[in-house]
Amino acid sequence: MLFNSFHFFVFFIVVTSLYFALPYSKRWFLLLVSSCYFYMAFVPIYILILGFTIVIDYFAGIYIENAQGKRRRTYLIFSLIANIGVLAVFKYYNFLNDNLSFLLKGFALENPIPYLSILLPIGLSFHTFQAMSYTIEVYRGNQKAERNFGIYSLYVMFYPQLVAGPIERPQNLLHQFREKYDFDYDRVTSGLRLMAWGLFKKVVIADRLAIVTDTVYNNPEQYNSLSLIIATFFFSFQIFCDFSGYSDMAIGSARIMGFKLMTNFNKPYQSKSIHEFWQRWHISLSTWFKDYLYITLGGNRVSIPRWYLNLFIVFLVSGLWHGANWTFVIWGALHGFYLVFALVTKNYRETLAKRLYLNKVPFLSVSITFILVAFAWIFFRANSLHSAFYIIKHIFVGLPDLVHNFLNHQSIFQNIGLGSMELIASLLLIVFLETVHTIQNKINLTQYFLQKPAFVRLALYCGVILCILFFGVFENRQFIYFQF
Amino acid sequence: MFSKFIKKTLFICSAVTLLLLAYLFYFRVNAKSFLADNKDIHILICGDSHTKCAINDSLLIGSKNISVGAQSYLYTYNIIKTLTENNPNIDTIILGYSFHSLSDNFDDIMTGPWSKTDYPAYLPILDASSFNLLARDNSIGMIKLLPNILNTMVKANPLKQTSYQFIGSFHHSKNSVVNDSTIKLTLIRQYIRSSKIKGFSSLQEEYLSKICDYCNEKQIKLILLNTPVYSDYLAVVPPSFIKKYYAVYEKLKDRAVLIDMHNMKLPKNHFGDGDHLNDYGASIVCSRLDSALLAQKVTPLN
Repeated sequence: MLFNSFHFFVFFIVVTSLYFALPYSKRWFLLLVSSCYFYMAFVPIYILILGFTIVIDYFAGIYIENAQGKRRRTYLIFSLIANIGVLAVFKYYNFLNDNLSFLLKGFALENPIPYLSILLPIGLSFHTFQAMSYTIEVYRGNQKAERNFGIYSLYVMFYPQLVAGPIERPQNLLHQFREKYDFDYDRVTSGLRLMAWGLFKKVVIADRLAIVTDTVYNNPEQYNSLSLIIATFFFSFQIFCDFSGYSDMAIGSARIMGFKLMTNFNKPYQSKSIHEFWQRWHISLSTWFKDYLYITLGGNRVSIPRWYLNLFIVFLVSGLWHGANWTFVIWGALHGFYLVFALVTKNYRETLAKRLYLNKVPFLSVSITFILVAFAWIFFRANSLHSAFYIIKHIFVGLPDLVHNFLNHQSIFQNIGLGSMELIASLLLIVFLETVHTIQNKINLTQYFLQKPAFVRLALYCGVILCILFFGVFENRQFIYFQF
Repeated sequence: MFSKFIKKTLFICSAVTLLLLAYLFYFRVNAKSFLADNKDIHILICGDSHTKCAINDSLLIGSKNISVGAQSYLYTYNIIKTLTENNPNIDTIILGYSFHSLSDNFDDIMTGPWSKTDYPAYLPILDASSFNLLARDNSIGMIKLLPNILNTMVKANPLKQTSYQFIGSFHHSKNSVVNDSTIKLTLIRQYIRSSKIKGFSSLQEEYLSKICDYCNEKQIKLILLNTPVYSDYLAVVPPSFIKKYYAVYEKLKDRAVLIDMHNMKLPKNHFGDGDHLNDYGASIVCSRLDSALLAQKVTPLN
């Protein structure tokens, strides 16, 4: 059940209406049942996998809290192995098997291990990480074990953030299921505005840009360097609008019912460094890795080489979290490299920037950061390593020919899935998006519009709805992060 | 607070609905003006893929082929109504009427997976009774496709005929793939369901009759055209369909003329597949049609 589907539209209205109609004590049960229904709308049988990890972690939490000494650690390790084991089987088994086959082939040996023909359960990486954060926080003493099985299940399965985050922490979310939320006009309208903005980003911007990205990236050999550059540029915004659009709809739908989920994106393409980018992009995941992997490895409280290694490991694992493919690993490794390089060269760069007055031009650092991120996205989006390297090589190699053709009045524009008017519209949408982000740096846009007369606000709401209806691409494209 | 929310929500929904209806009205007005300024066109060629492949309108003076593949008569009726309402130049309609035209395959097309492409193209121009008929069977499908319908409407440019998705055109092709395999596939699609012969569509018959009545009322000459089919395909058309075909025409012959070319002997390479012509076949049909229309006092010779 996609957030941009009619099915979800009906589901959301029914569940939210029932939520406010029911007494407080019954609401968590309604949410649990509707979350089960939501999850089963994808592949029903996979609710058993979700159920398995919920049961393991529920009891693990209680046993960890009740136990003493080394036993606490044992229960934690058991819980983590169970969760990572499920991830390993469903997500990484065939990938690992592929690599084993490749290795054995080098020794002229056959791989006796069979492949598994299984679909990846939707949202597996998200709810697994959310469940692991629970047992870790109980172990650390930051969270009391949840004794109500239903409430704990709801913590893992809460439908707004079940399949693509934000990855919540138990300290933030668990207690909220016991709070009493009344219908609040301001909160509900705020949630609806956020959902509308998220849906706009998804169907009007992301799915439109996806037409170009899919056309070019699925057959890169057919396209010149300009087309490859446009597709890469578009993908950078497609993935942002797709994922942040989903997050906005998740946060908005939860907000309507009174729940506060964490912010997941904060204008990432306005970042002036890769370090800042990771403070603004997929915040729930980056903070998860920081709190549970980076700090566990020692963080920056180790020798400098070990610190750099820790950073690199975290981003390698982050890449692997995104998908069972070397392209994702290289994407993660690139970001790890960027961060380490930035740290190693920090003093030189700051000195150079001061001498050349480059620190007075923040646009330059924003642009460089964007180019580095966009370059890494090539690996993220490419269908294979071969494809990624092909694209990278031909983006640069093809440029002189392109310039030559352009100067000789030859056409350099290819058919990349959208007509010229739609291409211009897509570019304008990106400009609009970043303009909104820039304005948001200076003023609170929401407050600004709330102060406007009612007819202005209503006209804006009607305008956004009509834009979504008229200009949205409703081919039911799945959200990119659902595949993780 | 809750009542304030409901009032505002209803107000926004009403405003959006009114704006959508206003746009629909604007779209229909523009659709009706299609061809109105083109005084040279007085023959409309309508129907499904058979007429789409059989009649090259560049070879038939004063004609315009707007056939669309798999188009049912419910849609054709509404297209004819839309385009002739403000256009007195149209005095003749050539409508495809083939042996498969009365198959209930067309009912499946209207409410099945094809509705995803058909509804956005046709729903905005349907009259109330046609719309209600479809809504009765597939209202949920219609609501789900609302964004697609609006997308299609907003892309329609009155200055660019191809942007109206309900307006088709002649299909140019010199290919010829006539073999047992293609004939069998066509046979299954048009006449067979679960190893049994399909039934007849009362809706197709009803709207064919409506087209005849409408043309009669508007004093538009209606010519039903049975396009040529390859002999191997003809041999496997269920006899019940051929019988039904002529039985239905018996009821319509006071309002429409039948030009029956199904038996026309054409070389195999003049057919795209068992029941569709290609460019070569279309040029022969057009010259024969031209003579036939002349006999009907419709058009001068090319």
